[in-house]
Amino acid sequence: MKKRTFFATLLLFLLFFFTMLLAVSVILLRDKISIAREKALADHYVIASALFSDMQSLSARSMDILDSVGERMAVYSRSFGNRKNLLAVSHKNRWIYQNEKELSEDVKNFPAEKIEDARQIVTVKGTKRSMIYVYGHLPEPFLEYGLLYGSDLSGILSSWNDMKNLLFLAGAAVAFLLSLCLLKLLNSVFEPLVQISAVSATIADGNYRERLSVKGRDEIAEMADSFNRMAGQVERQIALLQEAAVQKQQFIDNFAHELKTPLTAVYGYAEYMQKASLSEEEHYECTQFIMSECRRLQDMSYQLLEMAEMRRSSMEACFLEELFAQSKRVMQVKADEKQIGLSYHCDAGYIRGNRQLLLSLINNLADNAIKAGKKGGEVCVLACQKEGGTVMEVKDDGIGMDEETLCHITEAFYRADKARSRAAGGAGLGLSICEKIAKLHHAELSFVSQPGEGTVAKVFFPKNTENFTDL
Amino acid sequence: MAEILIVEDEFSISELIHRNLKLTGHNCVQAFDGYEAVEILKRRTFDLILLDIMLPGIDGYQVFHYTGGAPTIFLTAKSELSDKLKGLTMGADDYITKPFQMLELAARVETALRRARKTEHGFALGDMRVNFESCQVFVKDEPVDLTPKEYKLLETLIRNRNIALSRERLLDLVWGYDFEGGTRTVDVHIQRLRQKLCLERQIKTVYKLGYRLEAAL
Repeated sequence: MKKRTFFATLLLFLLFFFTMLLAVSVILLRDKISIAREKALADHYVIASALFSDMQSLSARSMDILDSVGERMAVYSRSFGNRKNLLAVSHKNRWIYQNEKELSEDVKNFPAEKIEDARQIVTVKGTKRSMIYVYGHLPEPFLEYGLLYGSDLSGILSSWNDMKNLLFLAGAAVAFLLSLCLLKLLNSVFEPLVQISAVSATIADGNYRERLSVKGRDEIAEMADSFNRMAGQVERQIALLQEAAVQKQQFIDNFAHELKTPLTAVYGYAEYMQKASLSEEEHYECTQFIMSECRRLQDMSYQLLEMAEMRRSSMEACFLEELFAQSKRVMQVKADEKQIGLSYHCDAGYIRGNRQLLLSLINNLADNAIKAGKKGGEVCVLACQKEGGTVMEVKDDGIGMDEETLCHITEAFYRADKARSRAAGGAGLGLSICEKIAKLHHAELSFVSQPGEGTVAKVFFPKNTENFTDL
Repeated sequence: MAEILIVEDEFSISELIHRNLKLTGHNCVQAFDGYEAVEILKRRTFDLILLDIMLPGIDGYQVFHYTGGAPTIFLTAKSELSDKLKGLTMGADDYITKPFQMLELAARVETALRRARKTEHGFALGDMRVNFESCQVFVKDEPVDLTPKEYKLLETLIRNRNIALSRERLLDLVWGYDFEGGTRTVDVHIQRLRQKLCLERQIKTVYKLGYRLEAAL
């Protein structure tokens, strides 16, 4: 691009510049030649009139004109000085005087037989020399005499030549200087482009940190600025994608790891049953183990499905009172099994959300609370209207958690107490799902806990949650 | 009859290992987290320790420092090479990744015990007595002549007693992988063992599987 611009600009300039130089020199030449013609005519007139008056006086003294013409002409020839000029006189179509030994071919048309009033002027560009010839007859009564005057142009031509050469030489020098300037100018114009292409190459190679330096306030700076913004956006998006990919990979790793334990148990017990001789009791125990491990796998697959299901959830107005009643029906059984008191209080209206997901959120939190609870303990689910939104709380007076555990509880497959949680049948995905549901509803999920005193899970639904995002 | 400590937080897996090892005549003690394992290890020693790495409380690597040089097999779901190397360079005898098969576990336990010379010296079942050191077999205190293959087969059955072994597995263990005879060879040798040692009832044919030597636990 730079090269093309350079050569095109230079070529165009050279073309116009030298055409102009040529035109100027041609005009100058023409001008000089027409001046030379004027001068030649004037000289011819002067010589002709001098010769005419000489002839008059000669004829008055009745002297032979033919003899003395040569004499007179030699005088004129000397006075019109330089030897390059040609002087010749004709009488009745015959040259009677000439100041050169031989006349050139150019004047063979002269002397003209036809006697005319007007003078004839001929410009001849010869190989040896260029001349302007003027031929005219003398006035009456010496009509049969003709005068040829030739003025040499070579001086003029050579000076024009010199001037022309000088002009073109200077032109070439100027063109050279100009091409240097042009190159420099183009370099400075294209420099940002070169920089941009270098930076975009490094970005294309995966180095998303690279940026352009923005100087000044012109169009280039504007472009560099938007280029930088684009690069920034790309870097952010890539970082987000990478983070998501890492999270996903971690999830898959954890998932594969979580699968190993139930699979080992199922396979192991089946193998044991096949290869050992078992009592009735052992037989029952082994099948019990196999079934509970399978149930764990089933729970895991349900929860995974639920996570996938969230992507296609629709939003509607959900009355908390109804959700609580529904949740109570399911959770009461579990609470009774562990002999834990379960109560629901609702002082709030409705929230916008997906009924199924919200129910799952409430059930998950209540389930966790029941699992953490001690025999004879109390679990309380309540909702109330607060400034700026609705708050839902799930309280228990169970074993509680320390701070480090709190940081990790929403990670998929994390367990505060592995032995207990697995014995209670969890897959380690519950709170991870809760957080996703909360996020989907623009709600905040937070936990307050003291080891030995219990845990409070709090979900805050902001009032203005009309625009839901997809996860 | 080795004393084995099983440290595994997963109740079902721990119970499974316990049951399997009990079959082959080992005494097991179970610990379900790191603290419990350390407490038990402070009180007494074991012939072999099966140690899970991911434990609640303190992890398996830390528990390992309390084993007092007892042979240890790490047992975990982590299968990365670096984890294996870490376990082995710390001085563990072996490393088993989940999911594992019980026969594999039993074989590794046996190998680790043999290396530590903690295997049984003899075995008695009814009228039959076997001395593993002198490779002699007695029935009612009368020595019985067994071919080397018959003796190897008997030893294999005893080491894996109460576990059914398929004919193919027995071929592998007794005759070696490159043996070209069919599984009929196993049947013939089993018949001879039953006759020579009067073990018709003890060496059971298991439907579709193979043979099992049944001995009281």
